[in-house]
Amino acid sequence: MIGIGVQLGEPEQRDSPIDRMLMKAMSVSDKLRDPNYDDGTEAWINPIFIVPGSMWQPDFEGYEYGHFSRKQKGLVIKIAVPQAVARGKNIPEFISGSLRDVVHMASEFFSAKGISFSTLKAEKIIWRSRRASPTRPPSGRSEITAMVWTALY
Amino acid sequence: MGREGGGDGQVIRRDELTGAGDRFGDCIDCKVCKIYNRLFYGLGSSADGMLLSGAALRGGSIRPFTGQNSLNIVNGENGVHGNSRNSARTTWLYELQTSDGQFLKYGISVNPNTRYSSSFMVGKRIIPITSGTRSDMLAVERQMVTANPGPLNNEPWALKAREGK
Repeated sequence: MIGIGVQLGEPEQRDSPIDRMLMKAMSVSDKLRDPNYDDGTEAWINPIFIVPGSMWQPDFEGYEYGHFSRKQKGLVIKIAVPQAVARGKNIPEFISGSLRDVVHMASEFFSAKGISFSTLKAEKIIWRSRRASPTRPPSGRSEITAMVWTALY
Repeated sequence: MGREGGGDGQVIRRDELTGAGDRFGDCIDCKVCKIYNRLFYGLGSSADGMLLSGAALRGGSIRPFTGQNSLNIVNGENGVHGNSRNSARTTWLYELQTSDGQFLKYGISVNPNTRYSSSFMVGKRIIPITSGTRSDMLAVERQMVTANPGPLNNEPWALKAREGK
């Protein structure tokens, strides 16, 4: 189960392409998430996308583990959005790619703690959020990639 | 056990602070001894801040003596706690929204990067609005909360504003 959070770096990023895409992914995950996701019966993750801006920037690169609640079985993983992505480059690829990485990280984290975590449910949310993306694969991509893209999304 | 002030590498040993017995002997009822002991053995009480010199303890911390919480001197800029109104650290005013853009609350934060290390932010978006001194941001926050209180603003003045008082 995934519950996405977003931290923008400046007020001007409101309604920017990165903001719109993250909001879409966030609303898809909100719709698909069980209402009682945090009652402690099943593990879930809270990836937080930290978008760099003039006011706030992430103080790390890549991913960083955050708070873990044993009671709620929830784990925060912070995702540092690169500057190029924040400016609009390869946003859908970055969002789905980083969510998959986060799912793998969470899977390792929870298995080390002996807690079961459904990657299938998480993947479902990632697929749906990718399908909600208005962006299509860039024309420079190989035919195979384009076919896989069409089949999946 | 000693008190260590990080500012100038100054370390004050407890035996230096509590040398009352050596200096004044064992005079239990002596008024000078009582004041002296109350002053130094009293560290760890709620009045700790009154005893601390900001310049001497810049960036330092006081270890607990016996069963007391340690006291951290968080703000090295002007020797006051980071959450104090007088703190000189940059503070940000932010807005919290849901995934569909619904406004939830205004808030202030000194370090947004550590803010979510101890809480969850599922289906929420946080947007910085402006920054400044803590005193200024507190004033702006109060003004904005009073004018437009969000459902998660639980301050007394927000509740009053919501009730239309």
